[in-house]
Amino acid sequence: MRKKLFLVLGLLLVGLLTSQLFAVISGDPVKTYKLPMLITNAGQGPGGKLTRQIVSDSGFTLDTEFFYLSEPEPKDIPAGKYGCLLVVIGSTDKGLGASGITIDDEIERLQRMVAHCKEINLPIIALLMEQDKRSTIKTNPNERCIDLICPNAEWIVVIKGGNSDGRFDEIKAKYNIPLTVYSKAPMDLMNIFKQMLPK
Amino acid sequence: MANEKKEKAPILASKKVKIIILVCVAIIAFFGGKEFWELRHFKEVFVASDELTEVKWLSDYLPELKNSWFDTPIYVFDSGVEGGSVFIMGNVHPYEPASSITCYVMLENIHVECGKVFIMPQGNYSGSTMGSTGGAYPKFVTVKTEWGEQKYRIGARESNPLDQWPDPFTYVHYPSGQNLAYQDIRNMNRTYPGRADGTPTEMASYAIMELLRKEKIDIAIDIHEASIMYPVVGTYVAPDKSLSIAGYAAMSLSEYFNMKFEASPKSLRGLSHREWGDYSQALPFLMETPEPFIDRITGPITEEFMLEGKDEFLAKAAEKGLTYVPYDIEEGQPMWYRVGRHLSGAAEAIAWTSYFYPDIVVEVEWPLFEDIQANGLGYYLHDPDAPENASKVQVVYHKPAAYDRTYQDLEAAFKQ
Repeated sequence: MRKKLFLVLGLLLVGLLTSQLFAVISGDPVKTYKLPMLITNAGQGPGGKLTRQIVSDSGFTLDTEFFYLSEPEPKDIPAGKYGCLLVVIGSTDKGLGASGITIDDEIERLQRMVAHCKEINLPIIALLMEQDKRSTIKTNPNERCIDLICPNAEWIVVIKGGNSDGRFDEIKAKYNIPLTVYSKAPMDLMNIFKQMLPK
Repeated sequence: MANEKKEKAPILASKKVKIIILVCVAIIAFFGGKEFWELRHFKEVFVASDELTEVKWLSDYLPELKNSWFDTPIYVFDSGVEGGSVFIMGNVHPYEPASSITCYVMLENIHVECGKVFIMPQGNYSGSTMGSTGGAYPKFVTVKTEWGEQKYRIGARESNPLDQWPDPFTYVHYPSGQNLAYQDIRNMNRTYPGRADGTPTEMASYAIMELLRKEKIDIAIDIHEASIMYPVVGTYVAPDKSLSIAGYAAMSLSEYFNMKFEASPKSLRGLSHREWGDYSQALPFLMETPEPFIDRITGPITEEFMLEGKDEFLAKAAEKGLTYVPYDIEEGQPMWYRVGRHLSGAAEAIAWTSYFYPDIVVEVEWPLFEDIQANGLGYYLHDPDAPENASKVQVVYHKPAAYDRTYQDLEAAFKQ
């Protein structure tokens, strides 16, 4: 049993290490920020929770080096507590209706959050990791979150498949915001987090 | 008086016409009934992998289900090597046949190196014995192989009303008290955790919960299909305790196809991805693959459409951005693609579970997406009529005892 366990974990480790060799990050260089980082969602999707896991797997400790809040209000983000705010964009296809929250409620909360971050000079990083949530319909909840968060971000990180229509290139050009594109998740993301949050 | 015309009797009052109508009705009823009978009693077969160790029945976990149309077989593959345990279920919505065909590909080709695997190809057996009401669905779907054709049934979403009727005006879910649509009282994926003395569908759900608890299942996978205009398509749905695993698995699968992941809402009750995790120790995963056949704006609902997934109306909808997965009419969403997705989806969920929970180790092999893509679906189905397979053929059918009863039995039961 123990032998098998080591074999499986070994294979997964080898897989992760091999994947590191082929990891591809392109676009603008990775920016650096101070710890601790606060992670949150835009659109109530599951990406924030998964990012929490990936940051943890990258070697950072939850609740000391980074924090996660699913729906922070301005009072939850005191000035000087965090080095940066990572906003994971991704609407939920399952939960908005079920939770009784509409996308309009969510957008209003995000507007309050963004305005507060500007007021306290907290840099916002926009991350899109769920490429399948993109839509050609402008009023799609995911697209509305992109419209709100990205122009107010200091840096945008996007999975390659999520930018196949050049939407984020347009935002970069229009608002002069650095854009980094990665292709292999979660390995590329782990690399990005290790570089952007020097200990 | 002589000019008075004799009143003619209405034509329908004529004895001859009445007899002709009755004969016509009897003929239509006979041919219609034959169709229903054929689907109700169709026997799916498969050639089990050499590693099959035991066949259990859902009634082993709730004896009251014995001799009912809700009793259904569960095939057990025990490696004999200590490890984790996996439960895989198809066709809880039997109009999503890629889910049961995925189970059959697993059942015919599985190799378990470590741990134990339970596979139930017909989650809602009752629902598989009827077509979708008003859906005008073909009864069967056939997969071509080198040795001939393998036939599978296309069932309904809910349990057969012959086995559970009538529906209430509003279905009140037990134990949450949440109000749901009336027909969901026969939807097994709305009746978890079920109850031992509830409706037959609730009893079957309860028996599945008992299986998860008694067999100490670590990983529980519920396989589905979804219409492509439904947001939760091409997706894993998982509660918090298995969400990160689903996320990592989805990211790994993106090398082959798009796979989303979604958190199971805490306020939406009765579904496997919520209740399996809340009422047992299992880590639940529900998987959805794109099934254009069950979209509502399509052209003719044919067997070819079920197999190829090509429809011009959906292509138009996709052009307008109304579908939740990319849709190309040249490629469609064929059966091999949907089955391949599920095979790899289940394998990734199992593999990543060991990464997050090192104590849960299940080493299992079956054909994956790239294998089905390269060799076709039929390549992995074996000929049940070949002499070398004779001892390995399994018939997924259990004739309820009610059909074995004689008139005398019924009379005796009535007197009691």
